[in-house]
Formats: sequence, C-alpha cells, structure tokens
Amino acid sequence: MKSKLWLGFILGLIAFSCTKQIELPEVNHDPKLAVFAEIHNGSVRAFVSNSVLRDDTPPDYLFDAEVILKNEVGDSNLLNFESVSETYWLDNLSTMPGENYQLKVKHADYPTVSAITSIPAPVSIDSMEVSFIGKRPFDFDGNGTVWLYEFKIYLKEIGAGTPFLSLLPSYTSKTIAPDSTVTYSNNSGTNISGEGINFSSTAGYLLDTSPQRIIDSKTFSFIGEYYIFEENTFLHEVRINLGTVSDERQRFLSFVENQSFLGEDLFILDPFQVEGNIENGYGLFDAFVSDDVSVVIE
Amino acid sequence: MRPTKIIVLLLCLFSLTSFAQEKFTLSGVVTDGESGETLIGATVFVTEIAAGTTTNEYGFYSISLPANQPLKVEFSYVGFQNTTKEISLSGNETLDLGLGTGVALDEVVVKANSFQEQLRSTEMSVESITTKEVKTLPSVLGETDILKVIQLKPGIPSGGEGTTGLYVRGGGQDQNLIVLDEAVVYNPNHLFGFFSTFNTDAVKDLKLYKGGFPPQYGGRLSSVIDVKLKEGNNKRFSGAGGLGIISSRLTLEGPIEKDKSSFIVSGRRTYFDLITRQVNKANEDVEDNQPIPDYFFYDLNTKINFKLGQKDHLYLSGYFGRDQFGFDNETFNFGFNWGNVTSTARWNHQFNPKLFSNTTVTFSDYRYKISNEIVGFSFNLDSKIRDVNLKTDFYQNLNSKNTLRYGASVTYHEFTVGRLKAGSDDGEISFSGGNEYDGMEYGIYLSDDWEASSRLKVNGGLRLSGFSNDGTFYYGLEPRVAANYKMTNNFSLKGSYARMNQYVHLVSNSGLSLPTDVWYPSTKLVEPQTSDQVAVGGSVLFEMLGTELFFTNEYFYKWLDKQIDFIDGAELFANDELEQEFVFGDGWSYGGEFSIEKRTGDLTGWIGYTYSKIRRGNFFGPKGDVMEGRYFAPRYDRRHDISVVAMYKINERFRAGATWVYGSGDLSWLPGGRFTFQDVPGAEFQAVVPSYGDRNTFRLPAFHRLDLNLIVKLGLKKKRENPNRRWESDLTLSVINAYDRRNAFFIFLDVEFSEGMDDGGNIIELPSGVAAKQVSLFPILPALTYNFKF
Repeated sequence: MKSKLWLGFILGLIAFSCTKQIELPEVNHDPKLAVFAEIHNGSVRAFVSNSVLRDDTPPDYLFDAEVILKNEVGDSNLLNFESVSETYWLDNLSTMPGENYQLKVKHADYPTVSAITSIPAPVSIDSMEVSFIGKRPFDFDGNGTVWLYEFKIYLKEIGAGTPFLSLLPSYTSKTIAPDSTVTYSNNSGTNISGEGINFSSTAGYLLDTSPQRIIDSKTFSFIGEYYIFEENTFLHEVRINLGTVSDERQRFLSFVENQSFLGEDLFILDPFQVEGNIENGYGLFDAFVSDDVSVVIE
Repeated sequence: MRPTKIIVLLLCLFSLTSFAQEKFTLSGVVTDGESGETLIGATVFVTEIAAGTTTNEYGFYSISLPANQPLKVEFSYVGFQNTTKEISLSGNETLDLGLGTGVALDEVVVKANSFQEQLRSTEMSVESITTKEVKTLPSVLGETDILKVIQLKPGIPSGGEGTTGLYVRGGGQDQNLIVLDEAVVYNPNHLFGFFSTFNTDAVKDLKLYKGGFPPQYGGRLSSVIDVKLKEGNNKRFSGAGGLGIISSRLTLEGPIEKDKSSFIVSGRRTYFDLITRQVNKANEDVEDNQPIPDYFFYDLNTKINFKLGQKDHLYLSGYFGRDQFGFDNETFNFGFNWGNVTSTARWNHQFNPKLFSNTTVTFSDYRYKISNEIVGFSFNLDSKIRDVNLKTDFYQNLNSKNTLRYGASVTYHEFTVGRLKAGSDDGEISFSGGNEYDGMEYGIYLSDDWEASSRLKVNGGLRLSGFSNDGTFYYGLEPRVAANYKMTNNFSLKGSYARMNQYVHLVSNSGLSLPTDVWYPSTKLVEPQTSDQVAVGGSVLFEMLGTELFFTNEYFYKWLDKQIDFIDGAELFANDELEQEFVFGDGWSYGGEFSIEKRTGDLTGWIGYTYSKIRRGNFFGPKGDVMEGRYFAPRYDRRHDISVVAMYKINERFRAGATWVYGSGDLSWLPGGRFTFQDVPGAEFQAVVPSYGDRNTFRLPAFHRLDLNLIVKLGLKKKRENPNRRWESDLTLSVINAYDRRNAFFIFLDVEFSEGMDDGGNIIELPSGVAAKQVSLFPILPALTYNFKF
C-alpha cells in the first residue's frame, strides 16, 4: 500500500495515471467472532460482532451470542444483552487488583473465542495544576482563538504493571457564570448529559487523550486547548477522568488508529495485521481502573 | 661425468633459464584520443603469447612481457578503433596510448574481442552499460537514466514501474553499494524513484556486480554499483545538453591546461515548478482554488583534475542534488526536501611500472527534512547520514602470472535518526525527539589475480571488515574467490563464492523508495547483516546466420542472515526507541539468469531472462514476531523477468531503439476479511478494521511494456559541407508503453459509503462495501527531447 497523499502528488504532477476498479480473486478467510469487552468500576461491557469476507459489510452486532465471564475461583456469569447499547453487560462485580477474569463467547455459527485479563492496580490522583501557556488562532484563516493550558496531574502512587495512563473520553467542561447558559462539552463535542442542555459550538475543550507511559515521574502532563469563537470571561470547570491502559489495549488502539491512516501518512505505508488478545478471534478484552479530579480555570 | 663439467653444465642451464625467464614490464594509461578521458577496462592483449590484461578503474595497465622479443600489443575498447603497437622490450617501458574512434561518435560498435575479454576474465555476475547505449534506448519523459537501463540486464529487476529501486538477486534495496567516484550515494533517487540522480551526460562508466564481489568492495550484501564520472576533455572545450519535457541539462568541459588538466561541470534541473507557479498565480482569485504544490529537483556534477608530472594525478569531484517539494499560503507553510552531497579527492601515484596506488578521501551526506509551519507553531523532522572515508588501494603486477591488489579503508559514519523539533514560536511549548549515533567502519583486503594455467584463472582474496559503535565492536572475515576455466577459445566456465557483511542498514516500511527511509547503524541489538553467495555459470561465443552472438548463463544461491524488518504496526514517527520496532531473521534466494547478446552490425542488443525465488522469515524481535517466525515471500519476489533490448541503425540520419519487458507481478498484501471495532462502553467509536492474514499472498497482474525510441540526427547536410563543424544535434522521440498496457502500480481497497441514520436520527455516512482499485502509472506516453553537443 502506498501513501495516497504522495501518490496523489506524483500522479498529479505527471497527470498521467489512471485508476480503475478491478475484481480480485477469492481469498481464504474463515469468519470469526470479533469481541470488544472491558471491565471497569465493577461493570463489564462486551460488544460482539463477526468478521466477514473483504467485500462484504460486517454486521453492527450479534445479539444471539452467549457471553460468559468467569473469575479465578471459577464463578461464572452470563452477560445480558441490551438492545439500546447493543452490548452484553453485567454490573455489580466485586473486583480486586490482580484478579484474573476470563471471557468466553459462543455462537452457533462461529468458533468459540476466549480471552483473559487481569484487574490493574488502582490509579490514585493526588491533585491537578493548570497553567496558561499561550494563544493561537483556531483555524488557518485566523478565526477564533485557542487558549493553551498545560495540565499536570500528580499521582499518589503508580500501581505495579500499569505502564500507560490515558485521559478517558468522558472528561467534561462547563462554563460557570451566574445567569448564563451552562455549557457541557467533551472531547468529541457531543451532548453527553442528554438533559436538555444545548451543546454550544462557540466554545469547548480539546484535551489530548493519547496514552502516556508513566514510570517514575508520577506526573501525567498534557496540553489542553480551550477554543472560543466569542470572547467571554466565564469561569470553566474541567473534570478529568484518568484511567489505566493495558499494553494490549495500547497496542490494539494504536494499530487501529494507524490502520485508518494507511494511504495518508508518510510514516504508515505498509498494511499490518491488527492484533488483539481474543484467542481464535478478533478484538480485545481488558480491564481498567480510573480516578477523577476537577479544577476551575479562570 | 667429472664434477667440474657438471658445474659448468648447471651454470649454462641456469644462464639459459635466466635468459629465457627475463621479463620486463610494459605499463601506461589508455585514454580516449579525442578527449583525454581514461578508459576503464580497455583490453591490452599480446597474441603471440596469448597474454593480456585490462586497464584498471583509473585507466592504468601493467603487463609483464618477455624481454627482447618482437611482440604486437593490441589495445581495444568498446566504440573505439583497435590500435596495435609493435614493441620489443629491453627494459621496463611506459606506453600511454590514446585510442581513436574512427567512426561516427554516436555509433555503438563493439568489437568481438570484448567478448573474448569476458571469456578470459575471472569476473562473473557483472553487468556494464555504456552511456551511448543509454542514450539510444527509450526513456521516460525523455530523461535518459543509466540506472533504469541497467535494470534491463538479467538479475536486476526493478522495484516496480517507474521506480529505480534495485532488488538484485533477491536482496533488499538497502543492500546495494552505490558509489559515485568512490563516494557513497545513499539515495540515488529523484521524485520517489522515478528518476535516478545520475546525469548521463556526466557519467563515464557504470559497472554493476551482482555476485563474485572483488575484495576491494564491502559493506553491502547484494550488489555494488560503481559509477565513474567523466574527467573532462583535456584537449578542447566542448559541451552537450538537452531540452526535454520536464527538465533541461547542460554539460561543459574543457582543458585548464591542455593535456594536463581539465574540468567538467554538468547540471540538470526540472522546470515543472515554474509552470505550476504561473498556473497558481493565474488562479489565485478563483474561489476554493487548490494550488498545485511546488516541486523541482536538480543535479550538479563538478570535477577537475591535474596531471602532476608523469607519475601523479589529482582529481577533485563533487555532486550536489536535491528534491524540493512544498506549498504555502498566508498561514501555512509545508516543505519537504531531500538530497545527496558527495565529494571526492583522489590521488593516483605510480611508484614504478609494476606498482600503482590510488588514495581517496570522500565525503557523503544524505538528508531529508520535513517542515511544517502554521501561525505561531512550527514542526521540523529530519534524518541524515554523513560519511567521511579515507581509503587507499594498491595494484601490483607481481609477475606474469600474478597481479596483487590490496588496500585499506576507514569510514566515519554519523547518523541522525528522526530528529524532531516542534513547538510554539515564543518557546513556551516545545518538544523534541530523535537519536544520534556515530560509528567507524573498517576494511582491509588482499587479493591475487592468478593465472594458474593457460586455461585456468583464479581471483582469490580475503577482506577483513569491522564496525564499532558506542562500545560495540563487530568484525568479520569475508573470503572471496572467483575462477574461470576456458574450455575452448569460445567457451568458458566460471564459479564464484563471496561472503559479505553489512553494518549500515536502511529501515524502510514500504516497497516504495521513499526519502524518509532511515539509515541505521549496527548496535548492540542490531547485528550486522551477512550474506553468502555462490554462483556458477558459463559463456559461449558462437556464430549463427553469419552473426556473432554471446550467450551467458549463471545460477546463484544466496543465504542471508540477520535480516531486519519491522514488526507489524511499527511506530516509526519520532520514535526514540526505534530498535524496539525491529525484528531480525534470515532468508535465502536462488535463481538462474540467461542472456544472449549481439554487439556487431546495424542491429545490436540483448535478450535477458531471470528466474528467481526469494524467502524471508524467522523474524523475531523485542516486541514480538512476524507470522510466528514462518517464512514468507517479500514484495519483490518476482518469479520471471524478461527483457528484450534492440538498437538499430537505420541509416546515417535515423537510429531506433526498443525495449520490451515482462515481469511476474510483485506481491501485495491485501485483506481477506474485515470486522467492526467498537470502543465500548457506549459504542462511541466505530471503525471497520481489515484482517490481513499472512504477508504478501496476493500477486499483482504480470507487468509488460513496450517502449520505442527514434533518434533523428539534424544538420547532416551542413556537416557534410563543413566536416569541421562541431555543433551536432538530434531530436529524440520516445514513446513509453507503446501498446498502452495499464500495468498495476499498486492496488488499494476503497471503502464505499452510503447514507444512513444514527440513533439520534442524524444522517451519517456508513461503509457499505469495498471496491478494489488498481492504479496504473503510464498510459501511452510520448516525449520529445532536443539534444546537442559541440
């Protein structure tokens, strides 16, 4: 696979190439189950689908799988399927750091798959500091303003076997001001509360959620960008949720992300197999723990 | 018999023997009589004693001949008239000779005794090409390219249509040692491999070794490409150039002091950017206009040389080349440039008729830089490799049966890998990354060209090489041997063995030759690559239908060890721990090469065929393995390769050239299936992820293409009226892909989308299918070039 960006340039440069659709020969692919499951805060959520041949469209989900969670002492529980979230779930798990769990998924049409994960040590946040760094335009045309802040989260301790930490996607920010419109926004900019609060497109936070390897420093630092299109002087409260990321998850997520850049990024050119820890299938089963902290920014 | 009589008899015998064995040395330099350029590989042959030699890379020859015996010494070289000198040596003599062409300058005429020299020589697995052949054959967009033409020889398949990546006998593209006037060129590509960095007008000679590597070469596993620049006409001022569709070139050369010193300057530049800038300027007021990015490349070769007396010659040369790509507007500026700089200072010294030396200091620099600036922020990424090398080589004509060659070299390498600097202009935000390394590479060698008998010649040698880097030291012995057994005057058998070590590695995550490929040293974790190659073959000179033909076939087997690849999904960008992404394994390749050549007459050319098979595997590294260590075929495992090359002199005005190539398609890695990925909880993130399975299991369609060339000489009438007229010109019409074959450059899977609705009732795009698309590079592509010389 070549970089489409560079190829596009080359082809544009010489303006001679052509593209045509072709039929590829049949390839060997045995469809398998694709499972993505997490244990967090005493709950387990599992999404089950299946792989298909290259030219087919994979289904969004399978509703008729049997998903079983088993702990070290052999207690097993069958997960329930919820059609609204299209996932299998189980709540009220009593998990302990270091405890192993096995997930097994069965389906009549596909080989059974399984995976094992262990509960990581807790993340314990001591405090968070924010300092203003500078400003820059929001876009190339100079519209809007982006305020840059450096956030530093100080940890009380680092659990053994926790190489990565990451901001979880559910961080929030809200504008605090009397008699003003309260604004909620998260990293993807969608309304998360669903309580009739209107999403404001005039301001919001973008926080870097890339996993960081935490070894000795006990500090998790990142740059946050607060963008505004209308000047205001309201206070903002930013709540951060910091969670562990297993090696397997970090590898899997970066693989998926890099796969999406195939053909666009000069440094990611060759295809590669995305690896997970689901035996006899595709996907990922892991556990993470988290802690949160908030700070008010003027 | 009485003792005194015995003593007298012995003394007489001794005297007779001494008298019979007395030899003297004839030595000198063979040059082009018109320009003074030294001729490399010119044959010096004495028929009476069936002994001969060839000039070395500096035009020097030395041959031991019987004393006081009338002999005819014949000097010959491709494209030149044979010259015979009658001599009778009563002492060591120097004979410098300038060969004349005696034929029209652009005529490709090869004398049969060059085939004889190939039959006699221990050299095997060697391909050479003349610049005259390069200019006769078709070229893409009229840009003659010596590296493209050498790929028409068997055993040297290219990386793909339009690229100059070389995969010689199953070796990777980093396993080729490319030297320009003895300085290493790390990336010989312009425009991502569409053109090479070698300006044909400035090149005197190119030789490519696929195996049987002489001991003076080391540091790469699969090939040596030795390119020599012209020295400059030391007899008269002259020039050459051309105007083409995408670039123009000009070469000027002449004496500084006639017959003693000369210079040559040769430059080439594309001008596509000059056109695009005008187009962009004209469209700058158009709404939503997407300006065309800027791109250009240039080459500049310079050389001067001085004859400092009879025994000394000094040469200074340099190469400067760069590709520049970029675009900018008021708030955004992007630049990507890469290029090579090399320089060489060389001193030839002749100690005596039997001993010649060459001492060289070279400098090489290859770097790329990506820069990105938006308002208030900047991002810069660069990598480079820089060498300083000192080497010395000695040629010693020990006696009529043995020619020694020995020497030593030391190279200082400096590597900058992925140096990243980014941050705000006011310095409040900054981050950086990357690594720097340095290392020393050493080599010392000794070889003997031994004429064991009238039929058997052996070249045996040993090279000891080493590399040190940050407390780590590697070394290895590299035995080299090549033998030639002449069965008859027209039939010889050859065999060779060579062990090679490679201490500097190109880490590339793509089959496309990209300027962002990174050169990396051997370290504690990254051991030197090694190869062992055996080759056997034979050559036959025969006549068919009144035409002399030369048939060569060779079979090779190559073992490779400590090969480097990347783990799947390797993180390349600004990775300070790049070694963690490596995997190390081994491999092998084998094959057979066949060629039949015709070099005399109006119709000349060759047909070449290569069969080869390549495997790599057993790859394990710090982060895991590739395919559980199983063996797989690399992308360039092309099973069959055919090339048919023809050059025809129609008449004095017209000359035609044609090439037809066929190759099994390259391998590609396409997914067999796919699945949906949802990042629970809440299914907020969804992606369709392909599942690839084993590497490189899909073979692209076979590649074949016919290219045609017609050269029309201009001004012939004026030339006849005025034979002293120096200006000569021609129009060259090239047609690439004459029957419009759409070869697959690459295949990609394009996800097709259709409209759907999410849970909130919003219209979104959903992936609905996958279409396989083939990109082809060249349709039928004509080009016209005007060439001149004076």
